[in-house]
Amino acid sequence: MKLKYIAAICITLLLMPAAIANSNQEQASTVVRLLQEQVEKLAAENELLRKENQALRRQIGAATKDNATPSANLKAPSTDKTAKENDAAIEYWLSGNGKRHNSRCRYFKIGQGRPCGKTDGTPCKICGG
Amino acid sequence: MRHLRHLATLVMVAALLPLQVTRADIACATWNLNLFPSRLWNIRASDAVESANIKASAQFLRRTVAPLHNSDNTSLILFLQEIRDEDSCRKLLAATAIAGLKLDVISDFKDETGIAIWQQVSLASTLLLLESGSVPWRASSSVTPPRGYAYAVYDNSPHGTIACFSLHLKSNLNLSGDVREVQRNILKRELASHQILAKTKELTTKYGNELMVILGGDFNTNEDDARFVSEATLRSFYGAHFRNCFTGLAAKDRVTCPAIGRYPDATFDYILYRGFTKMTGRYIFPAAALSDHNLVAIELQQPPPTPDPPDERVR
Repeated sequence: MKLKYIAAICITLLLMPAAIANSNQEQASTVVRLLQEQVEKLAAENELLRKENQALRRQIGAATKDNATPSANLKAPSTDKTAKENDAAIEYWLSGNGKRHNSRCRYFKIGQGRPCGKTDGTPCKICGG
Repeated sequence: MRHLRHLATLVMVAALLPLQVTRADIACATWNLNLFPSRLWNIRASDAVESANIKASAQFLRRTVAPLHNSDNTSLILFLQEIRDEDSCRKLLAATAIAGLKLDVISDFKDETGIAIWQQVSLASTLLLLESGSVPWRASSSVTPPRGYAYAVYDNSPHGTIACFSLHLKSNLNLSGDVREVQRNILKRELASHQILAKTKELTTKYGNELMVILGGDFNTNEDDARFVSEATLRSFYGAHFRNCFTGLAAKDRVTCPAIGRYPDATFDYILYRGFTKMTGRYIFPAAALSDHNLVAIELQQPPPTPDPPDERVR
């Protein structure tokens, strides 16, 4: 009779780790499945974001092609009409060194000087004054 | 067995097909327009003459460069030299009527008296501009190179970032005929090349090692003329891993500055590049009626797109 009890206890003891292992395995497989699902979900989300990012970049590129973006150092075109008219009225320029330049010259209205008549000062050697 | 052979052949042909396509992603052109738009030294021409020059130059650009920019996938970058001012540059670009071409930067270099010179350099493109600027050459203890460089950095996502420099290095003007003047001119170009390399290094630190760089312009030197045998300008760029668009071409096939008077045919205009996969085309377009320099154009293939950095939200 005792032997039967001992045998039953032994069998129980032998089977217990297997049962525990089985339940552990089930838990582990559940965790793995959940993690896999999460990874798939994140990968899908990542792909979606990547596509969104690319679309936005394309939009930026198209907007730049359509609207010329002026560089920071580029000036806006002048619209001051009166100043342009006044400038146009000046034909000769006497620079600080006494040289006379006409409106085609690089030195016309540059630096210290003043408007002058067509015979004032010495004619510039480049433009002829 | 015969069917299998056919199948194998078809598979091989299909595999080789992509190699046959010479895809170009970036088209670049450099042109010294020779005192544009008056074509006169330090003098304006009449409005009618200047308008005609602008129109003719724009038509030339449209005829030569526009076909390279033939699809939305090929971006265009223009390196222009000897432009009088921003106004004339804008007029030129508008007259080309090339879709999406915009002025990105034009220099404002001044002479020693502080008066703006009429030989500015500029960059125009169809790309998204990140930053730009122009920098006059710094003087060394004994010489001051004239002018400077204009640069622009473009966002060319997803392929990366491109830095471009438009240059016009010191000419070989030597009124005295003194050999020391030749050496001074060489020194001015070498000083300029060091400053360009320093700037490329600075931009590479800022934008990363994958930064693609293109230098275009009038270098006023070559490897054919005995006068420049000691010159290190081009060699310093080669040392910094730049490739010359004319590598492998005989001197007669790369004339960018045709003979005039006592000056023989010469190669003075170059496009140097680094960081690109390969050059898929190179062209020299004669522009005799418009300038003393021909237009040089190349087509470049970019490296494959860089993958997007991982997003913090999905980590």
